[in-house]
Amino acid sequence: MSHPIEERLRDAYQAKAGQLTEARLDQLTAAREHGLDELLGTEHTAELPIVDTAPNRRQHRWLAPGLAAAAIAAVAVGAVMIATGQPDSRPHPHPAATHVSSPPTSAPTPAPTASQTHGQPVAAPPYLPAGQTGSRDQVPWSAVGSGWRLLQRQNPGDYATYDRKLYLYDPAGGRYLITDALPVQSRLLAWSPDGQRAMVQMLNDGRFRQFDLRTGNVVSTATLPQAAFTTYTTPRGLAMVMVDDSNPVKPQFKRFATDGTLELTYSNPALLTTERVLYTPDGTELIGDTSSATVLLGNDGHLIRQFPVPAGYSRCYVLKWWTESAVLEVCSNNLSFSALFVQQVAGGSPSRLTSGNGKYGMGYANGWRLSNGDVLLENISGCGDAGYQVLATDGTIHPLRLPAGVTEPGYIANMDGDLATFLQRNFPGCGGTNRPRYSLIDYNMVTGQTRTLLDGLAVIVGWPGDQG
Amino acid sequence: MSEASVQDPAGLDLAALYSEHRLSLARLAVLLVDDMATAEDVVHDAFIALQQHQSRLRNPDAAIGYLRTTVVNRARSVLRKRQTVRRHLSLVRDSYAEAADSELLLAEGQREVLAAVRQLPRRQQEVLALRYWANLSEAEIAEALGISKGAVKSNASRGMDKLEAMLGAKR
Repeated sequence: MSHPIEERLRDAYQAKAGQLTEARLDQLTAAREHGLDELLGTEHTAELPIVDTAPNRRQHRWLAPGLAAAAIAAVAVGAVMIATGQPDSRPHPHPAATHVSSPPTSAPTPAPTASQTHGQPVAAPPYLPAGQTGSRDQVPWSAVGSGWRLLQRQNPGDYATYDRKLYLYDPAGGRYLITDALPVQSRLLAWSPDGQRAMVQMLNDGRFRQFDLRTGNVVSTATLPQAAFTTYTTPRGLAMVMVDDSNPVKPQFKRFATDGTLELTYSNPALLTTERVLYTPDGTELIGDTSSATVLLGNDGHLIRQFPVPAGYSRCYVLKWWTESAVLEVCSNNLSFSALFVQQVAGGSPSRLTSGNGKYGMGYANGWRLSNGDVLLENISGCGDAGYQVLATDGTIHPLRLPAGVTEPGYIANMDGDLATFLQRNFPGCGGTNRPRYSLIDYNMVTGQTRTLLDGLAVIVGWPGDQG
Repeated sequence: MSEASVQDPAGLDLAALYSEHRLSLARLAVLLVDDMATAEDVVHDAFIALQQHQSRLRNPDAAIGYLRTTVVNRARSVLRKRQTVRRHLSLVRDSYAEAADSELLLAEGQREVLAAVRQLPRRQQEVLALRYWANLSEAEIAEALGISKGAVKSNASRGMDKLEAMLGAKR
């Protein structure tokens, strides 16, 4: 006997699916390929010839939209840098200075860096005054650490394309031009945990290219598989790990040397669905998420510990180190609602950080610890953006006092200590406009000070280990 | 089948598969991700994946199963990123706007059903779409989702019960 709701469901599916006609599908395909033709211009193809192993250009035309979408998504993610790895076990030259990303108890106490007070307005030498541009030779390399950011602008009018300049921003807002010769259509991806190199991904063929920040020179180019995510290993970034999902039926967690040599295919199937890994500082253990649990693994893939998904939730995703012995994770019970939990690495059930769905109705997706003990919460709205609230030390939640010129809902593009970089748009919430404008505004959550970082969109990668 | 023939991609006519199944796969995808542009991307991604791995597929039927699985997995990945990252900026905004606009063209009762479906856990949504849109058998759904037939049955049953609970009063 059929279920009483079955006919209504079939009817609704037919109606919804039927809206996508052959003609509409052709339009969508044509629109995407038209966009790609603009993206893959003459200069582009001349400078970056298709690799020999690629079957044909058509394949790239299929591949590029996903990469471009991922690139756009990475803007506001702030390209959270989670260091990873195994073989590079030498000391970390510039350990992460924020408490938030501090790894577990085995981690040495991070040495403060000159920039550790970046949450406060910092203008003392050797930083450049905010808004000024210096050369690579002017970078005070011994001071580069927590609070510094790598930044690559997106081109106005076509936010799926990227400027060829790579800047290093100091905590005071001054910037240094590292190179103006990034490959055409490449996107900033990661900052090596030793602070020495930046990784970009070329959007036409997915290759990865590393730049030495001090010289601006290319130090490696690698052809790596299509991946759900790619990040450096810890503590130095001598390799990269990724979930190779070129075969989506059987994705595999792999580690590659930065020249593209495959070092290890992890055999533990539990890690197959992870989107992010958090490494211990010595790179010997990592935490990732699976479709059924959060897991602590040895760097060779052996399962050390499995953490339960909280009752009432279907799965969790790890976000960041929350304390030296715990990670923050977001758990969801379906696509609409999520909550934040703190999981002790030693084991036990996760403790709830947020409850309810918040002002914007779809739960909480991220949190950041502020220096005054408060926690900044990100509350998801139904339009793909977010609102922000503050969880005070007494357990109460109140709205974030927004700086002038910033409206909700919106996005935080990057977070360093108390310093949030807000992405301000001229179409807040679900609204739209044919002439979108964006600006990035730095806002100190504790002092209330603001400054416009730049007008436009950018990929921002915070200092490795900063809370992201 | 011999190893040689398994590795021989000659038996797989990608162009024919694309022509024959592109629309139905895109329609399946639109039920899973809501907006058409994302659905189109998802299906293109699926065909790219098939192109890359066609040498491992023994016959066109296996290829269709592979495509279906890929579409479901990639749709899930898209939604996961929307949910946990949810910062696609204009892409997401445009997607939501289009999805919302297109649903305005549906009858009120159909919109209610689709809104209720979106409240279900992801797995249940996938099972129901494959069962009641794609008309797959329990075994085919199990294969597509990488779960047991029992799990298919229980997810379908729970999903329908929840829909009944949500929509029952409005019938």
